Amino acid sequence: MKKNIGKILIVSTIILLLVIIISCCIGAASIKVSEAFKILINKIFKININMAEIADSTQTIIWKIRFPRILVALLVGGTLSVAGATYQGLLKNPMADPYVIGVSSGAAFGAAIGICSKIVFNFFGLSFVSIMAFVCAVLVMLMVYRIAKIGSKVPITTLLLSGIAVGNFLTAFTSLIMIFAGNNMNKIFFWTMGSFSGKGWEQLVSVLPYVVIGIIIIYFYAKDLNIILLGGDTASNLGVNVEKVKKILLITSTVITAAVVSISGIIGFIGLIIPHIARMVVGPDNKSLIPTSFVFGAILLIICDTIARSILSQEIPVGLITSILGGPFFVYLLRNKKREIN
Amino acid sequence: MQNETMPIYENNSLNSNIIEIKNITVKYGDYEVLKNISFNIKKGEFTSIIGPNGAGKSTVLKSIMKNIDLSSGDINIKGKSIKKMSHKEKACIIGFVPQEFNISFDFTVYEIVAMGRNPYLSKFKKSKYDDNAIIEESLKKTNTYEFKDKYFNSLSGGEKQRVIIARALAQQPEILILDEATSSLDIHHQLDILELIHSLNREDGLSVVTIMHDLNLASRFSDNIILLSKNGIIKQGKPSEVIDENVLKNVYDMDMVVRENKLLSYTEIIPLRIRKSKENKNIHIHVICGGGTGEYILQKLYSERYGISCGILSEGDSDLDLCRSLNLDFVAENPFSKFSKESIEKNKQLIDKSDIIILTDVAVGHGNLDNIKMVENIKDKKIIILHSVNRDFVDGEYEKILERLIKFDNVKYAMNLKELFGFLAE
Repeated sequence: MKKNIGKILIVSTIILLLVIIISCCIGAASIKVSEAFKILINKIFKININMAEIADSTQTIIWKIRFPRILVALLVGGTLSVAGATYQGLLKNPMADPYVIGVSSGAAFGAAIGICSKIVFNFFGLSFVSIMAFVCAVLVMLMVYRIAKIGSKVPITTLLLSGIAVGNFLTAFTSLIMIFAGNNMNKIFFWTMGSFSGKGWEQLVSVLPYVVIGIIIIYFYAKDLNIILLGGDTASNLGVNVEKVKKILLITSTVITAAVVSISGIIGFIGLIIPHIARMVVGPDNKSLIPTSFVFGAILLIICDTIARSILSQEIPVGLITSILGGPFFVYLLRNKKREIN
Repeated sequence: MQNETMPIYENNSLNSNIIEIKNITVKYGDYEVLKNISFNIKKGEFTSIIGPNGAGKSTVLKSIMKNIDLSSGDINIKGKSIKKMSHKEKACIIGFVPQEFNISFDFTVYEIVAMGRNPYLSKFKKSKYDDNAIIEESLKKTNTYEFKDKYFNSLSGGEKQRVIIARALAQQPEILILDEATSSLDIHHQLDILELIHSLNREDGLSVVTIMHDLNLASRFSDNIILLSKNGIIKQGKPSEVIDENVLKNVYDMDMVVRENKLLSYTEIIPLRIRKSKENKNIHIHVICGGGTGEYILQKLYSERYGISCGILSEGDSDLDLCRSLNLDFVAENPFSKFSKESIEKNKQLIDKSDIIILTDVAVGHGNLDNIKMVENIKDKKIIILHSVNRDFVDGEYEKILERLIKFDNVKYAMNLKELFGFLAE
């Protein structure tokens, strides 16, 4: 069983690398796989390969535009999937996704204010819009947590309900802002559907530390999360400090979600379906589920983004692609699984 | 960290208190489920908690497990307050088996049992125990080793409970606490689980605390029984002290017989009827029945605590057996013989004593026609006749008597049992 999971991870990581290289080649300017491969080897490992035949513009497209953008998609896809798996485990609810307690509504509200305020500055690669989105998302999470808290405990149902309530409240305000936003309405609208357009090294580096630390923390608590899946009382009887673990995981997964959403906008569906797909492959053990979700999520979002930027002359918001592709795919998997059970 | 989880009082002699419940009060909102409850549980004993639904038995266990907060009072486990005990520390001492356990994710049996090792594992250090060996031993002890790679959800109820006990054993606990762990199982599996727990208690020295609904099983397996009711702890002691007719019949509000089970040598109880009314009614009813027609009526009248007499019944009649087991007044005769003078005289006395006479849908032949004749001229008592067809086996003589009776003011004719009890309530 353990070996199988190792194999699955190795195979899916190889697929991920292939997807990265192929995605580098696809786009408005078509690039040969061998060229892309050479450029990446040369830049990443600082190995001197004969690059004379490769045009400078090609090098720029790969290294300055496509590759960093792919890495951002990788990070966002992986992070949303890990956060989704964590939320589904914590809330013991298969419908949970990283946005379920209102993080997306908070981020959208913050972004809408940021877009309309016309304040433009750059803080370690993060725009004012990104910072506003991040701050509002985290604030919403803290608010929802405070509302749901009863005594020393945070019951799951109250957490979900207060998340929905606060989320709807803020969505209404975001819509209000959009109505009065004039030309900015488009910008806000596109932001809420997610896009990697123009995202590169700066954005990647600015959120990478939070996300890496966050995912390590979540992985660290994977075993506790497994036990929490058995129910709160049972987990506590097996020696897990449920409320503490819940708090740590809730805050961590929200912060990493807020971090990636602040640079990509709201990309739906990934965080919901990838954990399910991963669970179908490796089972419910979070120690395998979390790394597998990361790799699967990364693969899917890179593919979706490549389609989003190359299928039409105009770029399509990647959030639409994830839903258009992911929806039917997920339904297909669900039907298949149902047949297995029967 | 690990030092904290080591047993604190190594030198506890047998029979010292492993759990001390000290004057605890637990509230759900404003409702006090437990009020000032105190008791001790001795090390190495098999302790059952019994009592009617709503007495707070599960709440006691939840309090011990820290799954619920105490409003006041304290609980000591091995001499240490649970308030000062971490979840891990507690999980190293107590293994808990819930009533039923379901998961919505597909974990294997082995994975579930391995979770029992959690309190001994550290995030940073390698385990200093041979966890796999302990897990396998727990699986083998509970006879679950053969399906360790199956999904937990694919198991039957009895198998699931054994797996959960295996998980508790993997915690290497000193105390095993069970919340009605057998109540959803059939009798084979109930006994299977209880025998397993009993052997863990007797052979491995685990202290066992369990809620039991089946008083006979509690009596059979326990060293010590705690009887809990809404008014707190009624009695604690050996099974022979607690399984006592006078103690139990008020707590459970029913009639029962307690006797020695010679086969397995324990005190057993045989439940009889629920007591609908607490006090005896000062109304005496004479029932003319036979052939099982009185069965339901007698039991119901009995549970509502009327004074009851029956007559005259033939030996071997099931209604007569019922009269004997309910300890009612009755007059009996040998079958297929005419009623003797003494019997008729005795029966007349019973009728005289009664306030109401009920005539069931009993079939009347020459043998028991006298029963009817004895009441046909009574005007000062209420007589209730239950409707029936095909009851006359004396060539219309019985029907004639009935036709005459119905015209009297003191006679009511009930078309069914519901009407009959309606007339009775008037």
